Amino acid sequence: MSFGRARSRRWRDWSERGIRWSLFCASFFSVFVTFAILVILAKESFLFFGFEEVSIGEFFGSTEWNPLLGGEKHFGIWPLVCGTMLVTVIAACFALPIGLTAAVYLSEYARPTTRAILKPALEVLAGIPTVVYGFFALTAITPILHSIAPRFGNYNAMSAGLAIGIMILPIVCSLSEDALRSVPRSLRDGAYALGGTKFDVSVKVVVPAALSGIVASFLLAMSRAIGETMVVALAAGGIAQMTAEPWAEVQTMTAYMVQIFLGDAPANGVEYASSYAVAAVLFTITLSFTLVGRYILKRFREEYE
Amino acid sequence: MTLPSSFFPTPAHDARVHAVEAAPAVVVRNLNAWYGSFHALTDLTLNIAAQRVTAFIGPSGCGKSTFLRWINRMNDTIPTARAEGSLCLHGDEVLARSMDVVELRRRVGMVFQKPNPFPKSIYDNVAFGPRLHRVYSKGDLDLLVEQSLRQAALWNEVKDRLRASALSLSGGQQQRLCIARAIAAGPELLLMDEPCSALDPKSTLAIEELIEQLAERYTIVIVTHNMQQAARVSDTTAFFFEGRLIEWGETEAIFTKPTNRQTEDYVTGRFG
Amino acid sequence: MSTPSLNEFVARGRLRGSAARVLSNRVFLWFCLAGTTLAVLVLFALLFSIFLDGWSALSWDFLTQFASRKPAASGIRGPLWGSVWVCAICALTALPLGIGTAIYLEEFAPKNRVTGFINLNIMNLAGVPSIVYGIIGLTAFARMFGGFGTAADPTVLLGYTYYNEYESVDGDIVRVRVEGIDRAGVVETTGVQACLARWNLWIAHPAPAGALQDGAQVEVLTVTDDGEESWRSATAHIQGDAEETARVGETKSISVSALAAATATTQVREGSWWSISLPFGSSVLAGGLTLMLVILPVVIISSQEALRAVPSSLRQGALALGSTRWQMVREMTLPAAIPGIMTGAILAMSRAIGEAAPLLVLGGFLLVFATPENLMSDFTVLPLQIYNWAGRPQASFHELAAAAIIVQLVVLLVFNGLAVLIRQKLQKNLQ
Repeated sequence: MSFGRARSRRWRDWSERGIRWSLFCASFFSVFVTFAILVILAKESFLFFGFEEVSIGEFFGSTEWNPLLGGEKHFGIWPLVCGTMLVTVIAACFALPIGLTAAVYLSEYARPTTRAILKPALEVLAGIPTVVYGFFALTAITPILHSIAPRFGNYNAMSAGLAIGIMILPIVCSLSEDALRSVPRSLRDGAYALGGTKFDVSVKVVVPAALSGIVASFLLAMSRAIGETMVVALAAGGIAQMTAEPWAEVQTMTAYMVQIFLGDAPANGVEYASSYAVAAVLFTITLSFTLVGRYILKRFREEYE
Repeated sequence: MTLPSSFFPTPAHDARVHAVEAAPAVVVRNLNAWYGSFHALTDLTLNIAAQRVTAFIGPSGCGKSTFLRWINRMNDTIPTARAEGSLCLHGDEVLARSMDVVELRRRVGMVFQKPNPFPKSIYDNVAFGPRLHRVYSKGDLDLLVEQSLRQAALWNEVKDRLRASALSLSGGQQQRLCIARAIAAGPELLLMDEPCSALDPKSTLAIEELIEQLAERYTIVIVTHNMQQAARVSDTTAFFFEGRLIEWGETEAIFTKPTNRQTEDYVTGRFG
Repeated sequence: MSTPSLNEFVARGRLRGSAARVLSNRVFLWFCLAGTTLAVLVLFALLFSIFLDGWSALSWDFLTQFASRKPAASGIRGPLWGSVWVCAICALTALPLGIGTAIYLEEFAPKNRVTGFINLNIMNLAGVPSIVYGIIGLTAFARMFGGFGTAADPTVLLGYTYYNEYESVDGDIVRVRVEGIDRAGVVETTGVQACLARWNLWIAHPAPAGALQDGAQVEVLTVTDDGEESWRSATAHIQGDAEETARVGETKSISVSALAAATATTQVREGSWWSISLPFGSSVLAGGLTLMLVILPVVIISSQEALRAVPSSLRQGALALGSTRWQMVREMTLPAAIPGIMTGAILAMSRAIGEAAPLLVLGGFLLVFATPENLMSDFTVLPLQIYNWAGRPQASFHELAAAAIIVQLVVLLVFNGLAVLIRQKLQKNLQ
């Protein structure tokens, strides 16, 4: 004797299969997106190199980028890469040391209550829109820099770099702190038991043990800085030039793309197509940062139980 | 549960112990310890003999590890831990505020339950303690590392790969490395907190043999769950129960003719 | 075996001064404290300076007015509604896709190379700068690879109504509905004369090309002296000649407000709530889909983490009772993972609200004077408006930008608070 009608097995199997397939398609969408990115960037860059003003040799060999003004156009990517790197280095010099020391403080020194307040606060700050940091750069950092040294003009690399540094600070701090906290307590105990001071334990044992995670957080933050758009579009200026002077006006790869798509260039022209080539370079750089970060995490992570 | 006063060391009992310890390394008088409001150790009074192996036995949570971690003040890293009473290491009051814990921990080496080598090379692990406290020439440090590894009976296995990661060693090797690391700092006293509980029988045997050798030079305190181990390696045994020291004396005496009923039950495996 | 005493070797080293060690420890603590304090101070300075700038510009009018060229009359009604539309589209697409992906990868996928590749791929997508997604969105959604004509002249249009548009001599615009065409274009007409009275349109014979019938419904745009525009419906009456039309208008109404004498008209289209055109152009739909691309990896990764945190004993228990994989997911795994998934989803949405770069690439910045009406409407969002105001030289616009930032931060704070609340509430329910 049995109670209840048995559910149809066929219906169950079909619905199971249908759900499985739709979920699989959803997950395949992300692969499709990557594919689309690669195809679009490659195809449009290919079109760009088809223009007679452009050559691959000049693109990767020339240090002059002058697509909009003047009679002769030049498409050498290096000034844009240089501008991007200058801003990124300034941001990194600010954010990495401060972020790491703050992470060490939170992980090794701070009382649980202090950490319970600071950690979520940092995560909220990591969610502030980047345009806010751009506004801050323009209306607060630049005037301060100008009052310190008048050669800092209305637009300069330093201001944008510092703002991006502030922006990536929570990322560095939060991720490094996670890495430091994942170092097992037994290692700290071992170092204390050998007569280490807090300094010895933190600097000689915990930080080296968490190094892969810390480096990965650095790389992630740097790739964020490289791809950051709104801050540089507002505060860094628009002159593509090879310079290492922090007070100079620079144009980054992202800022150039904004300039093009805001309508300074006619659609279907060579300038327009150039933005795809710049995007391809930007994509390649950030992708390599991500991959190197993943590799370091995988290769150098010590397995603790 | 409360214990009758007869469970505490009696004068007769003391006399028996005094016979075996000429110069105690650690003298403990009326030590009480707490974690927050939990009273972990109650009125602990005992001596730990120098140049001998002392074993602490007792069921989980009886306070033996807590006591061990007060000897080198490792409990300082736990915010809620506090202690009262007297704990003297060769005449220096360990619990005093003026005690330099860094210097104390150099004098008192510690080996933990699970092997915890630093994720560095084998060489750097052993050299870690010496480098903290002293400045060595390269040659001297090499010699010190070699001697430490020799004394930890690990030298022959690792002499060709001192630069390899310590995490590439097996569990038993890692534990011997931790012992080498502890003795390289030049301690007077070596604390071992269940050093074999995470190891297989073969590695356990190796560590036990090592402890016997080390006992020639060091005062060793070992916490163990394993009664046979206590019987094998120690000269003196102390039995803890619910935060109190129930009985202590020569290992042989504790295991063959304990004066206390609870000790007898425990060592014969009737409870715990 | 007897070895020489180790202490002999230990003693060969020169003792480090304990004072130096204590000092290094102390200095390091101060160093770390200084780093943390600096970090906190800088972030406080940021918030403080923005509140100082924007507080005075914040008012109810600021929330309800459209943007204007005059700072005092400016508000964020357009961008606020734009953000709502774009984020709604983004959530409706990204969340099902992302959570579905996470469920597949964590619960269904075999642990093989393909799965590993998809996982790695998602990690990489999370690291792609948002401006690159903007370019992808522009190419794939706004222009559809050029396959459907341009955004200004789309090939496929669904759900639109077409009008001939006339301009009268005194500036009124008269729209006459045209049936039976599917593309708007310029049409040539001559000799149209019409007058408008009491919301009846009187048009002279012959009727303009474009099949205007007697009694057709037309729309008339009137502009008041203040510049306020309004569309009204009217009925067309085809009359004799122009003069008669004017006379009839005069006789039938109190005032003749317009007399049209247009020689050329354009055709325009007006969307309904369900209108769709291909390509999407820089519409709210294209914007929402572009933001979907940006946050999809974030949603996937956080959902995966939430699912991974569910103990496998729950899964095994369900499977042991004879449930299928999907039943297991629906009954056990998903309910247990929902707090984590929701938290991740809300944080991903707060990222979407703050994104400006991809939308800037997608459609540039627009001054929007209407809230979006359908998926094809033009839009701007709050961060873009902030960008535009911040980029202007006048301090009064900077105040507006700061005020808009305050609104944006409040929204973000609400989102974060919501995430915390949901996590706590649902966790309590589960226990």
